[in-house]
Amino acid sequence: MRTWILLLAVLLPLPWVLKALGSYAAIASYILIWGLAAMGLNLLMGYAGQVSFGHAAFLGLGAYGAGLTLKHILPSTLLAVTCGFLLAGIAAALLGLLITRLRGIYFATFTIAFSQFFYFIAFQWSDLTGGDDGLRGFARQPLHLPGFTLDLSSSEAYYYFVLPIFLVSSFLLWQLVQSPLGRSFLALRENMLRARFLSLKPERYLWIAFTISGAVVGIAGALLALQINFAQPSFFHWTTSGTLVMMAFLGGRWHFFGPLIGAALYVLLEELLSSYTQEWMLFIGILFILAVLFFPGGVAGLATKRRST
Amino acid sequence: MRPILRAEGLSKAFGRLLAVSGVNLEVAAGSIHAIIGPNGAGKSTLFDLLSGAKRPDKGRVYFLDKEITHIAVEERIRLGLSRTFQVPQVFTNLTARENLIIALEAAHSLSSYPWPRKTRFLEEEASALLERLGLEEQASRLVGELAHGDQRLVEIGLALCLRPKLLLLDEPTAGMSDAETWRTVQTLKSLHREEGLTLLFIEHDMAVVFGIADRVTVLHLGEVLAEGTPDEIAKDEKVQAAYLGEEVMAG
Repeated sequence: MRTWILLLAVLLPLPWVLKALGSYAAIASYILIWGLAAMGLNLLMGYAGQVSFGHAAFLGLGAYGAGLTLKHILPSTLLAVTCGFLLAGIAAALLGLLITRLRGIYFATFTIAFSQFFYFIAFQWSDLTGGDDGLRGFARQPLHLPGFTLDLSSSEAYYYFVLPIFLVSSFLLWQLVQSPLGRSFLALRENMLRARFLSLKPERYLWIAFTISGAVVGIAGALLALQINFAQPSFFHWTTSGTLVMMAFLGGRWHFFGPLIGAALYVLLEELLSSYTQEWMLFIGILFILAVLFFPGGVAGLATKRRST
Repeated sequence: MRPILRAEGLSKAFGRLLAVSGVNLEVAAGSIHAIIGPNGAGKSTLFDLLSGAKRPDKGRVYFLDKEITHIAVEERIRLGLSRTFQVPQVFTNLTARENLIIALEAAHSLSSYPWPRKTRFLEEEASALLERLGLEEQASRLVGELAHGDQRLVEIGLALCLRPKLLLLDEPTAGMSDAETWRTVQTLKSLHREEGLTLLFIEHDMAVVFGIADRVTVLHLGEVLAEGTPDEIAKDEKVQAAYLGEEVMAG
């Protein structure tokens, strides 16, 4: 409970705080969007114990799903987010059927392969996706609620559209990780052999974790496309998956909100450093190496010693 | 008494090494049955074949008169066949209590429930089990930080959560101090006495074997060398020649 109050206290005024510090309101949305994506990935990585270098696929599917919905189906922001979420979730469920028999390096390699597969589709199928130029020609629409209409076109307004979605999604994830199902994920991370000998089928639980994880990243992807009214093939690129892994790792994959902290750190450092140098990735890379070597529990791991949540 | 577990002509080869060769075994319901034999005799491989961790090349396994040779681990567990491992397989970054809760949720088919749920009867079952194993004081500690012997006890606890009819224990007292060994033996005895649990265990400590087993099977080079009561085995010349002499003298 205290965590959530603290979270709200930080997140509610965030765009205004950032603006007061000389930054932009949009940065606040990026923090939530990347934070949600990293938390989605972390359900699989931190809780179920399988590292995916392919979650960019779901970020991209969420983004293109949302963009294509707005462009071709219906100009509704909520429907766009829903479609992005569903597209990514369905893709994760199907890919999950293929992949959850694999473990360790085979699992990780396959995840890179499928995200690159989507990358090339986004790149090549120009008629639908806009190819190299990315998907343009859509914009987030005003939100029609019973009784009134909310214009989302300003960065501030959009942030307060993203915030409730972030809060509801992370609250549901929070409930999930504390449920018996969440403990089954932990059992897989901790000891797959023992999980099996407790009658827990690893394939079944990995599939569930993979599907939910992909769907959550899909929500983030949809929100990202709506943020910039644009979707580009690089969303699918495996380096984007690497960014998500880095965020979760830097922030602390054994803590529920670790990936959000990691995403905030990443986004803010990028914002800060890129105004001085184009080589900002170098500094984040060094930080990542230091984290791997000296504080594998990430930022959240420095604050709390216990490994599980 | 009729057997709870029966193996017929079980064989398993790894490459050219015949780890288990034509093993016949009957475990009587309600018995405490020990499997002994020098290192490399095929004891752990035999356990893998019985528990479903590995598939035999030849032979059959029956559990409660049902053939289980080719059924999955999960189904064997549902039938009442649980096991522990030579190296304790536990959830090291979770507390002893969390370990047991996960196992109890699996036993009660709650593992897929996606919303927080603290079930009183699971908590009580976990407490009762912790007490039975003498782990009350370790309940809130991470299992990875516990003494080796306590980790073994946690693993036995995990296996017990599934309410087995037959429990396979791979060296339950290995790496334990004399006091821990004694405590474990007492716990196993009381489980056998009070719950009617059948035990099949691999053991190197002859004091434990002769202290609690009512039946002993000796494996040597993948084959059954002898089988009988502990007294018969102690007197068996083949066994003494192959294995027992040095161990009994030393132990």
